[in-house]
Amino acid sequence: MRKTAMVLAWLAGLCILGIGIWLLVSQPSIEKDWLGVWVEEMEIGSPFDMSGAATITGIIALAIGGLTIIGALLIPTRFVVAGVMIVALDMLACLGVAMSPDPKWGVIVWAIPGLLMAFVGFLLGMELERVQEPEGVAELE
Amino acid sequence: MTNGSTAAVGLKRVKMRMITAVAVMFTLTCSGSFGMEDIIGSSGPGLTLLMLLVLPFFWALPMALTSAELGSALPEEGGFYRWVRRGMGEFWGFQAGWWWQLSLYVDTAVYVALTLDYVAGWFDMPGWVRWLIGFVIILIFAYVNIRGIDITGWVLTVIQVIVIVPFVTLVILGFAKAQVNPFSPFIAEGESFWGAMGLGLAVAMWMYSGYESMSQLAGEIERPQYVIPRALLINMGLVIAFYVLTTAAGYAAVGDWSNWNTEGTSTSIDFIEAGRVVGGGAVAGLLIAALIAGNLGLFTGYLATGSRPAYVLSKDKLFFRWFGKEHPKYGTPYRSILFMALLNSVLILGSFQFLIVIDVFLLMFAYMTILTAMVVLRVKEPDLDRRFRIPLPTWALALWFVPFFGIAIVALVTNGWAYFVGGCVGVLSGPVAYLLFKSKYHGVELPDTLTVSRDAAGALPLPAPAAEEV
Repeated sequence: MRKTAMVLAWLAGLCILGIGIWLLVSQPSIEKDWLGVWVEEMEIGSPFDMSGAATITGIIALAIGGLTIIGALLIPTRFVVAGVMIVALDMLACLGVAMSPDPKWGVIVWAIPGLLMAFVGFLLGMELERVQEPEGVAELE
Repeated sequence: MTNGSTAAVGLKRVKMRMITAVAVMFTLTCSGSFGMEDIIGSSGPGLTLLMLLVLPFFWALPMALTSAELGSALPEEGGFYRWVRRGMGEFWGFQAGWWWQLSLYVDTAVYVALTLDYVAGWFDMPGWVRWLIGFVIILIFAYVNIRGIDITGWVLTVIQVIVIVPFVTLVILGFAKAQVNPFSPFIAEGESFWGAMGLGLAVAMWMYSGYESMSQLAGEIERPQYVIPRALLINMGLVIAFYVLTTAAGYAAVGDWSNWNTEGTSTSIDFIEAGRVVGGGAVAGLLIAALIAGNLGLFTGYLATGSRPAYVLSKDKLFFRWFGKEHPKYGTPYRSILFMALLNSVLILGSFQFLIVIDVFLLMFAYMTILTAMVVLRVKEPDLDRRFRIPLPTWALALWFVPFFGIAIVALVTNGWAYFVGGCVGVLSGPVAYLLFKSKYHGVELPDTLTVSRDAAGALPLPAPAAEEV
């Protein structure tokens, strides 16, 4: 199970690096006021513009991709840490997609790496159940 | 009713009359028809009634009968969490319990917030007064819950009388003063059949949810494998009849289907307005009381069930140990109840619509896991002592669950992409929480057989219910 998780994490990491490079190179148009509008809608601040959104999200994607690959490398030795890290990154990215100006496109772009990372989390959870000795017997009511 | 005994781990088992159990179930699955107005206005009255009659067979009944079968076979505190754990392992059991608990932590506060919004509509009050009233309400019902499930059941019975009487009045007067055919028009004008159904489906699903909830309390009721399945089955018929009759009577008396909604505008028609039309201010006043009582009942009922997963997970060494302590006198998981109550006190401070939509997502995943566990247990443990058994072979059962899964998956995407991804965040918190808690506390083993614990709890043998309890 750990090997499968590692392969999936590698695939996810490479996929995210690919997304990051695509964002940096092709510079897709992203509304520059979207974050400011979101902040205003959530009543947590004033509207503002964010120029260079494609560059910023591209750099963030490269960082998430890099961390995912570090997580994949950690799986053989410290899979709990790796699992928490990979799924937490997935959650962060999902939050980013939820906040994005066009979540539909965000879902399409993130679907494959997001699912792969989720599978890593579920697989490592089941792996922990398999290897972790329970302490005592449950007292059933 | 309170004459209970304290079981090995400190939870107090109480005798619960069937009528009390049905009242608790009715609270968790219905508590009035409020909200149905939106289906009439968006889908059309005829389709609303058809959905109310047909949807239960694909949505509520699978969950109700699964809860009845597994509740009769594995009557343990934590209910479906323990069933999933037994069928699919600790990891998936944890996921089901976690997702369900997380959704209820958010969801429960809404009922108090709705009550406060109604009260605030009548009296001009500053925000802190609104919060203080909410806090006091939460504290009162948290205390009721800490006192025990028997007291809670009694309070919910009284509340449901307050809810049911006005609706019965509405049904009688509504049919007596009927002006229009309750099935006409069948579909909202300008909508296709599937389009109209899609508009009302999410609300109808919500109205027919909650059948798994009472299983959480199995460890605190004497002979739960007898009481809970029967209460589930009685309640199922009761809820269908309640929804269909109240909707048909209310609409037949007032008509004007396109203005039925809960928006509260000057042209809106809701059950309170319908009560005013058929019975004047007195019936409308009773329905307002029913609305408030219904919300408080839902809060109390879900505070009772929603606080149990934290307790049982803690007992199974998969959650903070602090939650696994019983009240020394009342034998209830008071810390779990208090934590949930305090969290709700914070949540009523603001609007958390985003979180509420996420909780639908979490519930759908929990539901799908429970039904999967049902099929897995049929295959893995065919000889498990099922006092109640759904009269279907396992393959037919699995086939019957397919539409349920389809409806649940549709529900995941009905609120738009942003909520879909937000819901994914909630679901992903499950594996993270398991990895953290399991590596810290290690978890416990479930015993191979349940016979010993069931006997020790005094819950068996069956049947032979005491005459006065039926």
